[in-house]
Amino acid sequence: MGDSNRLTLVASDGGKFVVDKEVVQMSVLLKNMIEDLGETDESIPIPNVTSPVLTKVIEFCENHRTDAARTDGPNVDGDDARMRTAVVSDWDRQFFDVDQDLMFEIIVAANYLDIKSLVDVGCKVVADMIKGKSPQEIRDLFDIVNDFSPEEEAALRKENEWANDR
Amino acid sequence: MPLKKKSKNSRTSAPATSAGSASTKTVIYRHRSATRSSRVHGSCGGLEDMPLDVLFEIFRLLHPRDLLSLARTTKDFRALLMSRSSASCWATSRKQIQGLPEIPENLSEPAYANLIFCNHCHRCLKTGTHVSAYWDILARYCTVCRDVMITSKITTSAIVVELKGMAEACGLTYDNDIAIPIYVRSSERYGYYLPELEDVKNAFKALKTKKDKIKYIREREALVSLRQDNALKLTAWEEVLEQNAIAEEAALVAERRAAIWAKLRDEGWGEDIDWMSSADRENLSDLKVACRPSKLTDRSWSLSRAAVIGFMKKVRVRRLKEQQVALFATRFIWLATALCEYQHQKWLEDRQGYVFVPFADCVTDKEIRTVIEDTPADSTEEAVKAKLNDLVPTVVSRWVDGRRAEFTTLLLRELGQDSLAAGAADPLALAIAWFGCASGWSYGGCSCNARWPRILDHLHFRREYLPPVAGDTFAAALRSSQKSWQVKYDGQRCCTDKRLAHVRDVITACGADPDTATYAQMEESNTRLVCRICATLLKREVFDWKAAVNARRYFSSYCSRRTASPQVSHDFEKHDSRLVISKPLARRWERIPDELAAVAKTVEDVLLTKTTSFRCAWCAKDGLPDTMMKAHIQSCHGKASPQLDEDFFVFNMDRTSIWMFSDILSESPAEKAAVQAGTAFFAPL
Repeated sequence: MGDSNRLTLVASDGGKFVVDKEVVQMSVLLKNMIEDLGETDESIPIPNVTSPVLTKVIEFCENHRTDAARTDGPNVDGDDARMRTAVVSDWDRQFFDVDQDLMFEIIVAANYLDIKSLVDVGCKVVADMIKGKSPQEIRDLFDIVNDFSPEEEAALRKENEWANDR
Repeated sequence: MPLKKKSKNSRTSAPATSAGSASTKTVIYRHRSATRSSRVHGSCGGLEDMPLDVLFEIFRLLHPRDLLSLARTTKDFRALLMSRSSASCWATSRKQIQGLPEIPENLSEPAYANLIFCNHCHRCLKTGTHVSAYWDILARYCTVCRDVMITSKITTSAIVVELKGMAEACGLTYDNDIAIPIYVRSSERYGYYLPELEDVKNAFKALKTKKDKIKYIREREALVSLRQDNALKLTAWEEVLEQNAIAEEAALVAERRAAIWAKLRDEGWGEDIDWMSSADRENLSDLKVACRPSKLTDRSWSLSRAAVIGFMKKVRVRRLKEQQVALFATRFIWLATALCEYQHQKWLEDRQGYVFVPFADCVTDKEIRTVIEDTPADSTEEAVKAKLNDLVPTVVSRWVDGRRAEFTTLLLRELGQDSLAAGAADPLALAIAWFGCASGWSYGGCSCNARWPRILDHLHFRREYLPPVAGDTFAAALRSSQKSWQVKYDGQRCCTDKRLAHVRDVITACGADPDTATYAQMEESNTRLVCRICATLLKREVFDWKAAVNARRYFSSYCSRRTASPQVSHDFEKHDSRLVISKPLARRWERIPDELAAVAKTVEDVLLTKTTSFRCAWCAKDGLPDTMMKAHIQSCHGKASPQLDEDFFVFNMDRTSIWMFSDILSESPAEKAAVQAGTAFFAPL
């Protein structure tokens, strides 16, 4: 019988991570799962998350384990305002100082595991990267291919309609 | 690529059990968001591949301008952001902008963002400062397109009149505009938006019934009013924005300046900053590199540093110079004190013969200057004063000896070595040793005629202002010191009195030998002379021998009348003293009897005591009456109770002439008054 306060998470590539329950419960997905399962020694597979990404996610959760307020609450307008004005801490900024692929994978994993505080910080970091940049600068930043013709690009500036109503 | 709806989050689905390994049962949970979140692209690789709900989270954090930029990156992002499903993101983003009025009813969110945050002409798409916003019509136009799209009232009046005519033809009137009047700030005129005018006209024409036309006019009036209200709000918001931008820019500039000053202090310019005047501070702040509204980064500092340091170097040069001038000024005071004390001491020892040395001559002495300039600034006051005190006697003695040698040489050259009596130890003590001033020949010559050492005091032998010398801090310090300290001896114009023949005549008339008689002997003789030119039977001017030497400038009104006579002209004495040398007047002087000379001496002695002037025994300042002299000594030399003949002395003229009137005039009021005033006496002529 293992430590009842710890759980084993299994990444998509088979990597196993033994983590405190308190840390795991920052993920709404895993918290609900634990509640549903009750006391168990079984390891929990995280099929969409690779070991490197899960390592980073666990690192974030361990660092923010005491920030209970971040783990719950819907994304309402007041929350938007809080997020806009919130300053990304130095630790968080350092945490996301990784290559873009890993950064986006962390955000996707956080979204999948429903770790709101990590999603918030990730979105804020990406938003900060975009802020004040021209379309071409954004393309260069995220390695996006421009699929507009020059004529289309000029016409974009009119912005006089909703392009779609889907 | 069709876009999918953003997924709603987020409880997990019910657990599904799958077969695991024998040892470990594995529970597989499938998170809804993992399966239901759509992505712009299929795989998770970059921003485009993020789940939609994450993208929308990011969009909500962006400024509308950034959303526009993002919408212009790819067709996928454009499709996503131009979708009405993104309206809430746009609205959330727009609400970040403090004070921005609500979106007008006829604009989409992106169009509103485009209007507010993109500064390009909506017709030609050019950007620049020539593009202005016209909030009434919710458009931006450059000056060229504005003149095409917004016409002047004059040219549009026909359409307006036509509209009114159409309305009136239907029995309608309207007081308010049914098209929006647009104020064009640059030309200070109102105009109308041409497409709108055409639309209104066509719409009105299309209406059939009067009821519809009335309704249309009322609707247009309401719309114009609404648009104008919106425009007012946008204008007010824009003004606030401009003010904020100005304040923000000013804050950034202030921050940059503060950062520059901090950098300068870090680099050791603090002392210079503290020393700078307000004008210097303004000039530093006005440097181009200090006026940029951007933060001072390490890179921008490296680019700006040269200009700032260049400015500071100039400041430092001025500061060091000023500090050096202040240091020199302090040492000048110490030198002046040392010089005054020494000269006062020497005067007490030899009251008649002592020569006062001007401060400027002392301070510019090479040795003194070296002490003042080269003694380190951190030397103690006592050390510097000790050096100066040691040097002053030498410097004074050297200066006096130098001047004495100059005058002796001058005299001997004029007299010729043979003229010097054998055994005359000091040629300057001879009665004939008079000196003059060579300045002002062109207007008749200077009247100066004095003996050693009083000749040194002559005004024309003083150079009052030392010439400025570029880069010479010592000279600059002296030039900024007291005016009296800047007076330097300049004997270039000194000459022997070229009327030595005249002096010889005077000495001879007194019964002495001009080649051997000394000043002291002449003073003892008490001889008095009268001028034959001026003398009349009733009035004669009586001269002592020194006054007679100087007689060419002694003109009474009576004498002036006489000199006007062509027979006995004194004009030469007024205008050309050189004439006297070539044509001395033979037997001009006549000695008066000894008993009358004694009477004259008595009157002179009284007269000399009446015209009292004083001279400071510390610094040789003269020309002050008693009270002012005492005040001078108290303030400048620190003597609480200055005493006559201790701290200052009588400094009167040493020569005079008086009048001798015939007894016949003893009842004449004018002559009687002169005698009572002590300037004349009666004698049996």
